[in-house]
Amino acid sequence: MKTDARIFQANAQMIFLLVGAGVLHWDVRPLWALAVVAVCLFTQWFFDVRITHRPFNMPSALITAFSLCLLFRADALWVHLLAGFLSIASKFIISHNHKHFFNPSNFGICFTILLTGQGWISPSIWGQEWKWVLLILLCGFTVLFFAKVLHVTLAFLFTFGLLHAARLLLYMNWDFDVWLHIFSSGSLFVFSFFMITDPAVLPKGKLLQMGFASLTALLAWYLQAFAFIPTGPLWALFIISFFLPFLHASDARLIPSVKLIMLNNKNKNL
Amino acid sequence: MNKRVFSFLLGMGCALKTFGFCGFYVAKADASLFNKASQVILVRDGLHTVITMQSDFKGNVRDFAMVVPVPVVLERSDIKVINGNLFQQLDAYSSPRLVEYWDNNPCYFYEAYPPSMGMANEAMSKSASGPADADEASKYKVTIKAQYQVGEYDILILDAKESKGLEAWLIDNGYKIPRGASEVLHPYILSNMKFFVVKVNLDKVVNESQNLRPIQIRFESRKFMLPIRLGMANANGEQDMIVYAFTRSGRVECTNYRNVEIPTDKYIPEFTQDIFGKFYADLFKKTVRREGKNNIFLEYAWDISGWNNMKCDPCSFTPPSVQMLREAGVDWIRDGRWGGYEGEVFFTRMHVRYDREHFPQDLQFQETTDKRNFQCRYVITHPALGPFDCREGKEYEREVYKRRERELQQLASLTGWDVSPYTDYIRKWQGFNINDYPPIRTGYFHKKLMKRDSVILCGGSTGTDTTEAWSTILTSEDNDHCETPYMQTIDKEENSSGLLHYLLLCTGLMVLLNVYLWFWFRKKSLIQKN
Repeated sequence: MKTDARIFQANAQMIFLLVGAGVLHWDVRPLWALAVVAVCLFTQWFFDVRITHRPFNMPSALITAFSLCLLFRADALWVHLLAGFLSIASKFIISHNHKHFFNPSNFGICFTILLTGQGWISPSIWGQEWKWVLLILLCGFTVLFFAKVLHVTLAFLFTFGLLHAARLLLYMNWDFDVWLHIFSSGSLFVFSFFMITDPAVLPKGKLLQMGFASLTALLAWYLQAFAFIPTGPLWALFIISFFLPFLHASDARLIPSVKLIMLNNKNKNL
Repeated sequence: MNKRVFSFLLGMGCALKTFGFCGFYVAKADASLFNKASQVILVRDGLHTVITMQSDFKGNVRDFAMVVPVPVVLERSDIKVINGNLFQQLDAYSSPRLVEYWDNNPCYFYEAYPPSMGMANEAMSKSASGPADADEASKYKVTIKAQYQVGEYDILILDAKESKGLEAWLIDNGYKIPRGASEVLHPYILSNMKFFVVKVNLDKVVNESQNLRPIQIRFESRKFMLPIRLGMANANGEQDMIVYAFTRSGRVECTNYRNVEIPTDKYIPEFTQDIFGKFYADLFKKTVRREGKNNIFLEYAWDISGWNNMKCDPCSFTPPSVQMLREAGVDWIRDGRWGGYEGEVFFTRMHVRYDREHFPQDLQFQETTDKRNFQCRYVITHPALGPFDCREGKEYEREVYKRRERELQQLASLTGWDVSPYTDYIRKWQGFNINDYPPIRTGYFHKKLMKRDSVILCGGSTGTDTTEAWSTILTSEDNDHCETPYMQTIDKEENSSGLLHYLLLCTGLMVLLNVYLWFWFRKKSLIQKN
């Protein structure tokens, strides 16, 4: 049996949740978390079995649900449930050739916030402690080793780190620990190891994937540094995902071919 | 200054140990307990931001100066001097509070009514003073964008091109800024911030040690932050800051430091009432030590919207009135009926103890939709007094012994105090006083001691006389002579058994998840084979 990276991912997320709820006093209510898991699983089952007549993809829904519990905060249950439903539904509604464009939980979170004005993302829930960063790195490397998308994370972190270093250290002359402060935030690592690396979303081709990650990092940096949105990376991924169809369409190395392929696709559809 | 006690009953029939907010309010621990505590009111409505600053300056107003980076050039109408009482009122309203409960004697039923109590604290005097005049600034590459006189203050809005010039300008104009501040000024200049520079106009002050009133500025900006780095340039240890935030939608939280709630709803010994201020100060210190120094602490959060009739529970001070809110800059409220107001307002109080080492970045905030109420509330419970001549009475007595022991443990765990001299408290239900502040035990040695000092308390089952002597044995070996011993380790972290349960739960959940996933993938691979 081939080892599925999702087993490790679900485990890692569960560890994070337990550490967060138990040690870092996150506002994770067990019953609510169960409800979110239930909604995600049900939606997945409904779309898989009833609508598209495919086998029920349980692990994917479970991971999305965990991811929502980790990242999304709201003080009403219905907001959580809506986010759960939207996350899974987005996979089926906004997709092409069984490939979706949005990371489900990223879409669920961002869209729910835009739609209802309720809910928020707390970027500081992990604090700035190296022990948590180490835990996240350990889990992250294990998962990505099996998922074979480590290069995406590294590209993201490298670009993001470089941009921040250039601005904070070289241009603004802040002390090094200001940069380090940003890079000891657990949330940043959770994002870069567990959210941007969704293989179902990434375009094909290593180079393209790394380009996608770097582009996200660029936008995330811009949002954080100039638009003062502390949750920059999440919104950056959400925005960049709108352009994913172009990357999917090109599906390979040469960006100028995008137009041609799109034209071809149109003709096929006709 | 003595303050009148607030002790009114909120919600009749609060049973012993109910966890709802009720009880008699007896004392509070306000900001005056903390040395070097500056206070800030933050009001945020969309991009509109109002910041009111009360510095912790004590001394001659001649020496007072303040430099605050601001995102825009402020107009005259954007700057106001307000009444210093506002801070005292907000502090009093939201400070950690002590409440008390009274047990009924289970053998005799009667209405318990609390005797009135006195309470004292409060002392807040803020003063400041200022330096000299401003020059033309061309050689420093500093532009004076605006110059105002507001109340007792002379205010300049400076735009600088380089930090060295700004530093030199400030020093040459008599502003006592720490050497080396230019390193910190530089990044602010590059991020296009202006400098709001304040000194005291000596013609306007009556005497040089008078209290300086808070300054309020308002502007539109995407930045929702408090610049704390400049204040740390001279790096003279830890400083406290209390932030009172008002928003429409919910709690304000810090986005670049972890937000931690202070332990609340804890049952502590009766004698803590006399030293409640000290208790809270030490509790805060211990919490900072336990959670890490680079955190920001939540002390109060309450929905004080116009429609909400319960603006605090119990109230340690009158909730903010329409005038107070307007003065703080909450402009969106409308006058309501009966002197109230209409509009959504959420109040958050945060407490941060910062130093250069643990707070490299300025505090950045975001507004959430979290409307959960929170308050730091500590409970003392007065036992009923004998005689306990019925069966329930005996049981009650035993319960109280255990409870008072738990209270001592709680106290030790919350504050790090060495409570071993106070074990008399368990048996002495009336008139137990402590003469001095409890000593604090900390660090590794403290933990070692905690393990050794298991105190075994004997008796309880047959004890009818509450002043009966009891035995304390400092080693856990010979506890056999106790007839019905119950053993507790004083000082032990109160939740260590909770932790064990939690770890078991975690392991259980992980195993469950993995068994589930394993079966799932096994089934799937079997299907694929077939």
